[in-house]
Amino acid sequence: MGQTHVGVWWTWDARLTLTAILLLIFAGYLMLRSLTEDENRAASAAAVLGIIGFLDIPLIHMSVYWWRTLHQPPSILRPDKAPWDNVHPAMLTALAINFVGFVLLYFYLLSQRFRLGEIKEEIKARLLNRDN
Amino acid sequence: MGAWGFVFLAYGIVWGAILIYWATLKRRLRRAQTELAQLRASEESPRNVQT
Repeated sequence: MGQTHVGVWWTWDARLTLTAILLLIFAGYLMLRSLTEDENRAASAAAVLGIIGFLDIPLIHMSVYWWRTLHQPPSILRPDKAPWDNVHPAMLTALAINFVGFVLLYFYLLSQRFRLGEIKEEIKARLLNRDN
Repeated sequence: MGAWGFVFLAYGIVWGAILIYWATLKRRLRRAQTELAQLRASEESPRNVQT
């Protein structure tokens, strides 16, 4: 959405507002997760917020059915029509390629972050062993 | 700014954030690997431990 699409920078459209809430939840998640004073407590609090954030996703999907605001109904995930009946095949192909690309990028970054976590845990364990 | 300007701006912000995150992650990973290697080396030769 935005200025070029609907002519306004911001409107209290249901889907737009719920997506903005999800963005705030995500920012809050990252802030909570980065608390280092009590890592276990930070992880638990972030997990709870993550679940709340996940509950927002079906709300975002259904918002265009429940509230008739500015956003159009879904183009891809709708039960009555196939995606290629709604979206031009060239756009659908580009979307599919991008989707696969971003999923691969996500798993690559996740594997790197996971490796970092493993190394940090090993460093912590070795330092504890050395001190004891 | 025209429509393409906004498209490039939006893509630029997202890709910039991803690249910065990737570079930061690589640097943190490299530092952690170095720290772990030093720790392992100091455990294998305790006499060389630097305090």
